[in-house]
Amino acid sequence: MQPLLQIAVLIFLLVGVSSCSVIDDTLLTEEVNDFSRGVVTLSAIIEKEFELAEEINTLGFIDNLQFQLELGGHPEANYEPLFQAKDIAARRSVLAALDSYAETLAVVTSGQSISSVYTGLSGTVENLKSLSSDNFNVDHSLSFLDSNQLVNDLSLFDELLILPARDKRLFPIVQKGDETLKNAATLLYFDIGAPADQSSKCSYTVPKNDVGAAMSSLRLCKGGLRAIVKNAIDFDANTWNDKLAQTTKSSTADTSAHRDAIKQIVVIQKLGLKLDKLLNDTQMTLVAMVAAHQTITETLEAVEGSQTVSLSATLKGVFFQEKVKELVKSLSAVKAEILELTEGDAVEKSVQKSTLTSKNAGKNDENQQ
Amino acid sequence: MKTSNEEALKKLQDALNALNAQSVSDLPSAQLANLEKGKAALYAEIQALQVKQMDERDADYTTLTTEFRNAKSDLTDLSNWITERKQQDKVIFTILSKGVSLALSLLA
Repeated sequence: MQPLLQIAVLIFLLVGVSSCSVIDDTLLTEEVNDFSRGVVTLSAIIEKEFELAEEINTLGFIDNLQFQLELGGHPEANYEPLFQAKDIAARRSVLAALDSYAETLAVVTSGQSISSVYTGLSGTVENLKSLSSDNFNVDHSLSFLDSNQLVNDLSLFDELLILPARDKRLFPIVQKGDETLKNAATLLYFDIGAPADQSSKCSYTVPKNDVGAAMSSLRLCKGGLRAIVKNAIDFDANTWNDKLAQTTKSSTADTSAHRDAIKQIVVIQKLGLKLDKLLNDTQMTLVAMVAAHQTITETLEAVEGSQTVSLSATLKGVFFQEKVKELVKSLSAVKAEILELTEGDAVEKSVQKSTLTSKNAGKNDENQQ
Repeated sequence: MKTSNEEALKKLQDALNALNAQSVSDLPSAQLANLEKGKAALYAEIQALQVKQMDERDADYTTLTTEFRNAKSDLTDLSNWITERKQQDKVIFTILSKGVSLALSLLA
């Protein structure tokens, strides 16, 4: 649905819900379904972003390994992935819990029986009970106590899935779900982290973050996925910088190898900026998700109390949908660029390897003391 | 004296920054290969520390990756080569020397 049309429909919905208190309103169902789909899409994007970080790390490893070989070195050829299986599993557990919760909202809103899907949903949140704060990368900006509290509170997702069995109304679920959803979003927000310190306190302690306050007030120190990705981008760019210096010092430098090295340095750095923007936008979308959920709660509160909901509150749902759509596009563009870089790279490198190897063979002895 | 995880991460980053800041155009290929290996080892160690949740920021640091542990001999070779060059009063690799010393201090 187009954004303007969506806004018009939501205004209509407001009028509708203020005069009608039935929960199976088609437009409200659509709003909850949109929210549910948005959450599922967002969690899939976050999972993919961890894979992209791994791909950038692999690219840097291969480029450096190849350069060492070209120089006649003896590199360590064992590739160690950034994340272990347990690291990824921990994130998947949180994302699966978010998906299950979103699916529960959609099922309850549609009036279907939760018992038909409960077994599948509850299985996904079971893993949350065994999680601890050391499964995530949040220590850069959160105290040990706050990290633990945040992770422990995630087990409340399980209670949210039980609720519909007792009370088939959506309102009590979203009312209780507000805080748990925000905790999950906050944990992921910290886990995605920051590429640089956002607080002057970072050099000696963690910033004084109140995880209960608005997410926009959070201040992070360097760490998390964004810092890891930045390190990987910088590492690859530096390898290419050194390669450029190596080709430049040769008086018979191959101009195409020279040009390729320059191009690669620029391309990898531009990719780094885009990838960091994607991660930052993901954090902003998590904030938007929490706001959109609060709007659903407020709408239902208004229905219960026969009150109206402000237009600005209602627009938060639309804003969340728009942010998710933008993320999907950005992710697709970044994925395409990484693919182009890794595939195009293979051809360029084979050309460069032969060029550099022949030049360095002579240069090696000449420069030795 | 023991080094905490937090201090180690800072030292590793400082060491890698110093190695990256050194212009490599005066380095012979063999030393450049050593340098690249050292950088790769420092990078791997930094990433391993970044990914690992440090329950206690003040806890004692121990090396995490095989790459960094195995880089000791390459970094020592590079350090020896810099010392030799210094004695010959040729190009003085001050920044490189600083980075290598920092990295070696964590592998002592």
